[in-house]
Amino acid sequence: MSKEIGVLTATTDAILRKPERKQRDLLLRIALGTPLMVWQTAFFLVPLLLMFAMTVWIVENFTVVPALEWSNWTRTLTDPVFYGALVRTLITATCAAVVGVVIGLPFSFAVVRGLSARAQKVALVFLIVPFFTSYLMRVFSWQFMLADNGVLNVLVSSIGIRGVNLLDTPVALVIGYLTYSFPLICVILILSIKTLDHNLEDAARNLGAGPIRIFFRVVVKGLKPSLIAAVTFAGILAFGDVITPQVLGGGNFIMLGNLVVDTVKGGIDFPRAATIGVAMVVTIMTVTIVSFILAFPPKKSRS
Amino acid sequence: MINRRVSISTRIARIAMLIVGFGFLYVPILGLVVFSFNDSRFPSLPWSGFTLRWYRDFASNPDIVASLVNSLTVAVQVGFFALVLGSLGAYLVARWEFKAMNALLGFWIMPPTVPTLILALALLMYFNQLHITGTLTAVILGHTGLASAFVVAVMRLRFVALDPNLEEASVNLGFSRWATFWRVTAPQIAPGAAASFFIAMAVSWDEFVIAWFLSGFDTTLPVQMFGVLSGYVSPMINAVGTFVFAVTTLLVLAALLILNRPVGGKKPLEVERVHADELSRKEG
Repeated sequence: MSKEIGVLTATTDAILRKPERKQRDLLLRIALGTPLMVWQTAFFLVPLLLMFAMTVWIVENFTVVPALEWSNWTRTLTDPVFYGALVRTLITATCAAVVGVVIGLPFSFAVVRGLSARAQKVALVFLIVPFFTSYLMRVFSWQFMLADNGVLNVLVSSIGIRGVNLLDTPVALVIGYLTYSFPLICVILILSIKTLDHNLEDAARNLGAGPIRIFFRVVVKGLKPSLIAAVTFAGILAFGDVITPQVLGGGNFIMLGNLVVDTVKGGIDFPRAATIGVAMVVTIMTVTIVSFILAFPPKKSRS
Repeated sequence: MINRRVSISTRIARIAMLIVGFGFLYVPILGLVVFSFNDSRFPSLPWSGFTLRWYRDFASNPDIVASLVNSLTVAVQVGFFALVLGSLGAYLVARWEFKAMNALLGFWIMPPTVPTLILALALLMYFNQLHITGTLTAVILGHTGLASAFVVAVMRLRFVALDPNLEEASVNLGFSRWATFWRVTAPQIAPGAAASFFIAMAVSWDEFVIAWFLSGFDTTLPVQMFGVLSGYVSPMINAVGTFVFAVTTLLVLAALLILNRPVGGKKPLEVERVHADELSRKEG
């Protein structure tokens, strides 16, 4: 009995103290949000802003000093090495992304349509684990798979075909980039194929559409946003990567990322590195915006 | 569910695609593991016998062992900071609705969407101004922002899955917020917290570019390995690689297994669906 009275008083107290509690709630909310907010501002937002600012700073006596000097931009934007790297990076990244989706699409269909619900879960785990694990090591292991006397060539020549050296070629670059992006591409595609209505394909077939027509008019149309998202993400991952060109490209292919690394590791010309970094950010943002518009075209207003 | 007849050729094509996809991801890893036990200076076929020599080399190399210890201490600290920061933030966005919530959440989970090279470059310039580049502290500071994004993403769904009435009841019964947290909330979210901790650790343990830019003489294992990679070729690298890979895989697998278990009486996928329903109701 006394226990129930205790509960009752506690509840009444709680109700009576409500305004005070609301104020305490606000304080609690601020206390919960502030640490991460401060952290992400101090160690993410401000550094990025500083990188933007540093593009107009200058190097004097081996130290970087604040200034408002546009020479970094004019120097970078008129530099053929920069343009060569930009075009090279864009082309290889796009190739890797497209190849990834072209292989990833039938693979993802095989996972969704060919495996039981339980096996699909396992397949997803086996895709998520490599996305988090040792990209550096996985790229490195391709090095001895692809090398002149590497595993692939030994296997191929044992069945009588003359092997080719794939290391330090664009093919090796695409393979390296896909090591990173393929799991992500497949997870995106698998999740969206699961939502695709299989009956639509049957309906199209019953109405007399051929397989090619079904593929483009039903499958590609239904998956369009995720296909674009997969290409974009894979492209961005490759665009910002420095490991693959270094490990599998043998330094033959200077990508934008490697240009940044060389500038930073070679001295303290941070303003120049910042300019290339900002150019990369601008490129990535442009690509993201364009693909978003492509994926979700603004509805034309028809009156 | 309609039973669809699947032709033999379709079945074969599906199996072939599965082999190609998973083979592409796992054959090189398998090669790495296999050659770490191969008794030959060159990682190539034919197989020349089993040895643990490369693992002994690895264990007796003071530079590598030092960087291994560095990597572990960095990863544990990053895991701890990311868990605390991320959980607090996740609790806020899961429990209270407010106008700027989506913007806040978007900002908090943004770091992984920026290429690590850009992040590393920006942090290098920033820490250089603060004179803390070339230290493991810089690496910890850099990794924590990245890792806490994953913690926020995981923990938010965990908190959403909890019944807020339980906390409300506890507070109404006169318990303080603090007591409520430790007695009602914490026991229920402990598995999710463990999973987030493992993921945050894995992110840091494995990260290369940021650590490469920010660390100095004292460095982490991936950076040390990269030095060996571009220096001399020794099969020891396969042994180190296998070890790094095994640790990350264990961390990520443990996290995924924990997250796959039911929370608050609901299956994880249901939680996401309930949450999605809630969101669409809010928007609708």
